[in-house]
Amino acid sequence: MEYINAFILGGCICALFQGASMFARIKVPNMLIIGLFLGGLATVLGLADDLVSWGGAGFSILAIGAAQAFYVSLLSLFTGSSERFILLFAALALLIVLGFVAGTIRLRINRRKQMGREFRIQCQ
Amino acid sequence: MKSLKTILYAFFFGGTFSLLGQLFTLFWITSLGNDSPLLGFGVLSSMGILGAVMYIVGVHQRFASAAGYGAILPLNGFCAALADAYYQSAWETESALAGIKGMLKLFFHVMGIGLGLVAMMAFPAIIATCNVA
Repeated sequence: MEYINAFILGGCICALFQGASMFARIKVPNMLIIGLFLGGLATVLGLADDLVSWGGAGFSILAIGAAQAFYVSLLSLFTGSSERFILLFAALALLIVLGFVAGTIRLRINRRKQMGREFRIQCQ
Repeated sequence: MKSLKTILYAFFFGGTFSLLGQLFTLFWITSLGNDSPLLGFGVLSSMGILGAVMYIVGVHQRFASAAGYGAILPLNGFCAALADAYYQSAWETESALAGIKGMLKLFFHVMGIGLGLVAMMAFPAIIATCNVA
């Protein structure tokens, strides 16, 4: 049952963001910032805990959920345990590394395609 | 009519990625235990790997043009957005350094402002916990 809940919650949030971005014409990075802001607001108001307990990954896997993870890890940093904070930043650093790797490989593939195209044109 | 279709796609793809995230959570719970501190890290990193693979294969670009925020808002979409920022700036200038610069610019723009706002909202709660302790 929690899988269906996750599907519905994640789908509804994504559809809401899609609708809002079509309505207001906001660029993607700024929309992600708004998402993080709304996630922080939901955490402060206590709404995020209810949503996570109902929908699980439907909330926590989105960019909104990163805000909640950051909020919780920041609080645990000030109560003495820093491991959550370090692990969150390790995950974000891993995202940067993965983005770099994926971008590099994609660039190589497309360069090779382009070179092949030019080679074929020269042969003709 | 086209916008309604995009919203429906966003619902479907966002839901599918959430479902995958739930399956990743199940996998990490069974392999690490129910309350391991590594749980969140495992789920986030597996979503990142999923996004990177989808970007390399070229599926993510198609999903993002069809479903919009259904593919961008989950964290695999953020990873792919970073890869795309690297790709765009490295393709024009043909240097990896410019690509890394463009990628970090996007990362610090989103995470700097977004998490900074969250930290500001967390400030009263931090003061409360410090006074108790």
